[in-house]
Amino acid sequence: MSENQIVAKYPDPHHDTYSKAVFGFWVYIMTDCILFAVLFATYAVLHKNTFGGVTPKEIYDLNYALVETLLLLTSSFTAGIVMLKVHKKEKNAAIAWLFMTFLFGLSFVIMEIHEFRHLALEGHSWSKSAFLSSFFTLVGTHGFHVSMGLLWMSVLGFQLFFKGIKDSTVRRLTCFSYFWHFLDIVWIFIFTIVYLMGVM
Amino acid sequence: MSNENQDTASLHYHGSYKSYVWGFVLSIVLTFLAYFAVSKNALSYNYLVAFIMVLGVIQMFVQLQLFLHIADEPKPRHNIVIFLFMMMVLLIIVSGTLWIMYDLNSRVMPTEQEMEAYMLRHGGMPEHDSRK
Repeated sequence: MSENQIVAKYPDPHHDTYSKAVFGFWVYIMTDCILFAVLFATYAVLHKNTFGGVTPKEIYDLNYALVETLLLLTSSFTAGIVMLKVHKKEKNAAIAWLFMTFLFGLSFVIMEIHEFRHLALEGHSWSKSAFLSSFFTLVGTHGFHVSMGLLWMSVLGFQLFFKGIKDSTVRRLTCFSYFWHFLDIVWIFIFTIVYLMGVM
Repeated sequence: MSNENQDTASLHYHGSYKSYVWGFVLSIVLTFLAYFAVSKNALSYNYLVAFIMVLGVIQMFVQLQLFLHIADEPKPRHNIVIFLFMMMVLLIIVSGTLWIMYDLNSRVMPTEQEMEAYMLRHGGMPEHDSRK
């Protein structure tokens, strides 16, 4: 097939600002997957190296982690509804659902900070063993991403309120929704590999 | 500008209430399946690990399509191409890391605990290492 025939067979309409921005952001998300994969690999290698200190089983609370899981999952769901409202041009509904997303995400972060603080106060900080170091780095990096998402979400909430549903706000909300859904997918594996396998 | 609006609007593959509700419900079911399998210790260790990993991968695909609509983009599906490339890089890095570190670990002197566990299981010291 000549190049002209290939171009004719697969026309690519994605030359507008929206498509380029959204695709570029998707590529960034793909690189973030590599980051997390490396942190998972590190945890897999080091989780047994407890240096005589606490083991995963001794410090993980599975029920607590389950609640965190449901909070983040719900916020991923509400983030999806935000996009539906945006595409139907329902500005106030979109803001309301964005606020719901924020609340569930914030609850998740508060629970996680509480968990980390409790561990540190009990003396199980990230410098005590390779296991703890890899745990805090993996789970903490995810929590940091979620926290940044909360910040981004608040800014977008204000922009939606003041600017309304425009090309720019739709583009940014789409990128944010990719980010937020991606964080929930990463958490699936944190829940499975860190907490579920940790208490087995 | 308004023309661009028309075109880009048609490029927004944003799913429907159905996709988000189904994604939410399926994810909850898959999460609880894994949770109960572990808390009730429903399978022997290796099978349990495989079970929850498979459930996790399924939930990932559920969310990739029902939340992220990854397969809704028309041809050429650039986003899927990039996704597959990322998965390839990821598999090489993760499996390579695990293989290398496992191999290195097997070449290092065992700890007291590892020696004790070995001797309990084998009734004595290890045989001469033919690998030398």
